[in-house]
Amino acid sequence: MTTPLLCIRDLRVRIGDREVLKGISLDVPAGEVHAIMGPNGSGKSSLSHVLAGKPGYEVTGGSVTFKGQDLLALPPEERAREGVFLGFQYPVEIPGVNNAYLLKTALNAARRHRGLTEVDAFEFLTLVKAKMQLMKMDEAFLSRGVNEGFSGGEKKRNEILQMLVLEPALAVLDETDSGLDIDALKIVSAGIETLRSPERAIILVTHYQRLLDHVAPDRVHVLARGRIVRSGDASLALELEQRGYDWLLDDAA
Amino acid sequence: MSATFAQRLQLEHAEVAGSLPAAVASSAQRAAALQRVVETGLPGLRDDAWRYTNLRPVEKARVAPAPALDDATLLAGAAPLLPEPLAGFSRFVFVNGRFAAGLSADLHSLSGGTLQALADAEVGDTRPAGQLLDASADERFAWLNEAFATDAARLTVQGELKVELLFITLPTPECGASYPRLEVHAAPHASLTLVERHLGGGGPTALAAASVQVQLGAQAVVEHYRLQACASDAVFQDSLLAMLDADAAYTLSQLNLGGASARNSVRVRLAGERARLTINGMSLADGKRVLDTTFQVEHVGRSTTSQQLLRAIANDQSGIGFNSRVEVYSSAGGADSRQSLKGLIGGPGAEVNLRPQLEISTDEVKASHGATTGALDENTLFYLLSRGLDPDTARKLLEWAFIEDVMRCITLPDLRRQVELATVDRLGNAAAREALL
Repeated sequence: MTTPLLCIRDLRVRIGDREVLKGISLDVPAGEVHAIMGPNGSGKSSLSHVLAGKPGYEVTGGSVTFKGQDLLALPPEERAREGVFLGFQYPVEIPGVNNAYLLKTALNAARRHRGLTEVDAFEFLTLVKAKMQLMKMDEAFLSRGVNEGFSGGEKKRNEILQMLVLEPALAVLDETDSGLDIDALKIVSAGIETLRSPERAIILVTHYQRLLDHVAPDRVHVLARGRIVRSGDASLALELEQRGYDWLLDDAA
Repeated sequence: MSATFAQRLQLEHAEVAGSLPAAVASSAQRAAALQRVVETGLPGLRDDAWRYTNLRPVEKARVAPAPALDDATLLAGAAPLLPEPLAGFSRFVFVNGRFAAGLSADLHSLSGGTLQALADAEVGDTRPAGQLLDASADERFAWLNEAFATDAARLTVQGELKVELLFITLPTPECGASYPRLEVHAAPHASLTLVERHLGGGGPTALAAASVQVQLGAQAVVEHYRLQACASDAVFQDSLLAMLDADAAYTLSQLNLGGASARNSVRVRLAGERARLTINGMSLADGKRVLDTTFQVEHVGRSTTSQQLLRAIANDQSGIGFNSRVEVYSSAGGADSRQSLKGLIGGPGAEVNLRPQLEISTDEVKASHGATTGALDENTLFYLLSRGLDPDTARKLLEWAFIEDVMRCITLPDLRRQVELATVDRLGNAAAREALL
């Protein structure tokens, strides 16, 4: 049996005095889409942040292995170059840094890291414009500041565009569906589907079933109070949609 | 002031008084100005408005003006400092406080207004109509300038004009100070775009003390860019006084990138009804530079508006002060004032001090102000790292982003490009340079 792309073992994490992840174990093999669901405050975002290396989280136990190496030992930028991508729940606005520059710099940082030649301006534009078409984004977007003045939906679309340009091995999408109207949800879902391939894995962190109507997960995990309390196939998400989370919370107590 | 410094001032003034041009300031005016400096003295350590100004080099520097350079030395010294020309602008250059005809456009070439170099003007040449503000102790280096000035640029605009003025300080074999001096008179309905740069300095010609007066007639529109890009060992003192008549609009961009120790004292009086002022201020410091800027805005006329956008980045052990004081007089009903001050501290020894102050003497006023100082936002930094950017590049990009709102107020494309490149050099910002080129 091959090693899963991402392998989390008994992961324990604190923020200050509060333990937010209390022993998470999870395998995500290449080629699969996993959904992580759960009520507010269950630790879903914490898990996403820890995988991407956000400062402020203290790992007190357990391990995370990505492509066979210790992910937790790497600084955030190296995780990104190795192929971990975090789609932010609240993407930040950076006026003065334009989207094209950020995308090209990020892409070339990853390519250098993998021993590939950097793309030049022409190759980059050809590549990014094709992806933008897919995300139904206007070309004027490239010269605008990163997320500057974007609506919530535009910011989420931009996250997916970045993901499509960077083609990560592991995409962790933190509530990418929140704040999207139905049309935007379809576009974003189609973007995510494009990335699905035998070499890649996707973790969808979400509160609701509706994204999973468009991007069918291979596995669904319910996170509550810092623990995975239930795992199942796509039907678990439907069950949650009908029954809510309460019936699982007793198990987590 | 220490007796010795006062004595030295008077002694040095007596040495040169006979050679100072009367058309710039009469000997009586000069004597009165000198007297005010002597009586008021240099600001002390406890003088709150000057806390961030390093005055020690001023105490030591020779205050009498440096002697004029010969043409060959002047041309050779100034040439490397000249920026790329700005399309559509006439350039005039003053070196060590004296008009440098060899580096300037023809004085008679302007249409829409005139520029005079007063040292060569007839004594008694009358000043254009319109009131100028008197310098107070807050702008006391304007007194020093009046006492010692060797020349002055008088720009009078009736129509539409684009002018670039360079004030360059070059080292001279004998020590001495440089006194850039500028008077701007924009007649009613006139339109002026003025780019004023201060360059060079440092070395034995340690002190440069500039004095600028701007007067806007009714409905005049003046866009004034001031770029202080002096040498990194220069000591620069600067006073700007502006007075606006009814419906005049003055946009002042004060961009401070150079100098070892630089101080700008700016005071603008919105005298006429509906006069409008916009100030965009940026100070960038590294090493041990100390940049201190004070803006005083006086709302005197009814329904006057002022808007200030001030941004500071202090790296290494540098210090930046932004003091922004707005006074709304009882006569200024319907006034509207907004102040936004932000400081970014980029080093453990760096300091940014922002002080917005508001004094209101009428009920009928809209005023808002905000001031924040801190390090880079960690969440934003993490966003860039999570995209694979290395931490140094990410930080530099965010510094760049921090001053973007001031940068975009520079509406002249070639000037903006020049300022952006100078900024990149100042911040050691390779990432931003790559983004720009």
